[in-house]
Amino acid sequence: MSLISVRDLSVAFGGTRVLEDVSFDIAEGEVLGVVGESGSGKSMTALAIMGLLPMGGTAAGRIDFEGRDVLALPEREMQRLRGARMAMIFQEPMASLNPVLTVGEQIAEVLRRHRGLDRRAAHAEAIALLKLVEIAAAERRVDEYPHQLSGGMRQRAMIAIALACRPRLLIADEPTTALDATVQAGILDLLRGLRRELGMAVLLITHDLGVVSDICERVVVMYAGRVAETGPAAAIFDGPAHPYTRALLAAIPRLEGPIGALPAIDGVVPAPADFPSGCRFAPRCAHARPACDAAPPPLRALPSGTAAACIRAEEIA
Amino acid sequence: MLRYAAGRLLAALPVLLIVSLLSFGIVWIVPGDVAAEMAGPTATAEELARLRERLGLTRPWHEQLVGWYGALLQGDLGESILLRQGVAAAIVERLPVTLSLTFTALAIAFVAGTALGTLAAVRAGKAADRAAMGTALIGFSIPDFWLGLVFVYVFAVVLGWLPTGGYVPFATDPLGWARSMLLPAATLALAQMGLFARMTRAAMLEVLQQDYIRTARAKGMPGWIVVGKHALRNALIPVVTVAGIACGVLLGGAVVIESVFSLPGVGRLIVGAIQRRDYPVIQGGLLLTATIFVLVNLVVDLLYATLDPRIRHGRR
Ligand SMILES: Nc1ncnc2c1ncn2[C@@H]1O[C@H](COP(=O)(O)OP(=O)(O)OP(=O)(O)O)[C@@H](O)[C@H]1O
Ligand code: SF4
Ligand SMILES: [Mg+2]
Repeated sequence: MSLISVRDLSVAFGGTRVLEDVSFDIAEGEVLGVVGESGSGKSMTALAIMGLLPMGGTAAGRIDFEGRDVLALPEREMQRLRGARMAMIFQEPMASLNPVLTVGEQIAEVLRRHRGLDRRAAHAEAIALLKLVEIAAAERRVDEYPHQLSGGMRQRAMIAIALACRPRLLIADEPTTALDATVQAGILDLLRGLRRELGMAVLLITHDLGVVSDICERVVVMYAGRVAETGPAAAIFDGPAHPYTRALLAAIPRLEGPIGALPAIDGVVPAPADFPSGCRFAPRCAHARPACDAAPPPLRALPSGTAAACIRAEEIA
Repeated sequence: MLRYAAGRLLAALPVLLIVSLLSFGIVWIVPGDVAAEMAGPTATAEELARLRERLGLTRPWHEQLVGWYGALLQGDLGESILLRQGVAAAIVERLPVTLSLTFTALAIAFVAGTALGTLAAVRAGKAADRAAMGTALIGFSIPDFWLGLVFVYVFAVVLGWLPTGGYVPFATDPLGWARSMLLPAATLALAQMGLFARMTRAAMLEVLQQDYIRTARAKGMPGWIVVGKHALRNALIPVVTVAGIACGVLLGGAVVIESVFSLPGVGRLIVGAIQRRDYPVIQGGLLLTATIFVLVNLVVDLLYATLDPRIRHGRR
């Protein structure tokens, strides 16, 4: 029984579909990595789960979370889930905290809303949470404003907010991309430790395949709004079946390359309006054949242990 | 915060100094012979000399300046020639009327304006947005004296709900005070309300795009908290900064409104003084208006710092 099950999720803005047929599951306590180049739809997937799509975006399909389809839930019910059962942290810790409220207030607010704590208890618990995310001098920091904190500390504060109600699912959308390399490692260590301690499931969106191999149990590779390949992390790294996954792995920066950024593959992800009608990777794929343009290939289970959306997966393996 | 407040206060002092110098210099700046103008064409040479003596115009200018500041520090603004009354006393008598009018108008404009602007931003592009912004535009474009006359006609003459004019001191009858203030203050407020509404809408639209609003929603906060707490606190920062300027405009507008609603305020005192060249009153009025303006801006600065912790901590 999975904690969350995403089935045929699609997201459209007006007539433009930015996400199509996205399906995956996350088990209780599991860490799922979602990778893909910029514009492949990783954030849209996360926001659709949270019910926080940008204005004008509509989601279709099913997202069963703890047995309920969140796409069908009224906003009121979603508000009870958000911040309590599912929580999210974002890429920009600088911009994600409210500049006019103290860190403590921003944590305490969630506790008052979802756990019904009174002002004083919420403040005390906020300090405890800051300690949990290993912020030094928590008693002092709790009454400070975001601009008084460093980028790393702000992201830790965001994590404290997200974990305040012990959610079953934590969505982390590139939580370290905006931070210095040294700070990144600390945040990832913290996330790893906390998820073991609290036993929550994590959907980790990242550009960094090193991070994926490090802490993710399963992986979803996305390309141009569709799932290209999915499977256990070990299988993806040992026997990638989709040409896109293979290209990503082949281009992992060696020691001399920039650390963390997704490796460059020739060409760019097309804009949603220009998605090819067949396999979306075809224009950039070295193995493309005319048959690839017929229809978007469905995900197929492969002997290597992954499922890939490529009609030629066996041939090129 | 205390240091910030002290800093703002210190920064206000030079402004007050310049204004007091200007008030002093006004008799020197205006063309012609001040005493002759005040005394009128029928005055004899003897009367003129006496008036000059009374105004202190016969003494050298530096002595006059010292005398002016010496009196000022004791709260003495001189004697009104026409009212046969101390200028300070004349102003103090009328000040409650003008302050009531200006600040009631400011409160109405601010509260109604920010509410309209917030509503418009939250419903951007929808009918409520157009209705709110249409209201703001109308408030903006109608001359206040005309609106005042319409208000008097409708609410006082036809419906008889409110008095046509006159002032009831708050201390004697709070309800009567409120009734006497409602029409003039609302009239005066309307244009500034439009200004506040437009500013709030623009600021709100920008704030609602910010990442921290998404964070607030990701925390499961209900819409009214997201808008009323997380967004509004940020959107009000630029709006509050114009409150000081709005207050200046309101003070100026109060002069007209006091006449329309026959309120015995400082505005009418100054207008009368200008018409009759009662220079001590003009000087006092100028000084007072500027002082109020400086004080209001001081309050605005403090409010600004209360709303934005980054200012308090000397960043930005
Ligand atoms: N508000 C919006 N309206 C319409 N289209 C949008 C909107 N926001 C994003 N998109 C489109 O949706 C697609 C997926 O974007 P998404 O943000 O999910 O990508 P991503 O994989 O998270 O990329 P990144 O790594 O840059 O964060 C993109 O092609 C983008 O142009
Ligand atoms: S389906 Fe064809 S174009 Fe698409 S990835 Fe496979 S080989 Fe390449
Ligand atoms: Mg993204």
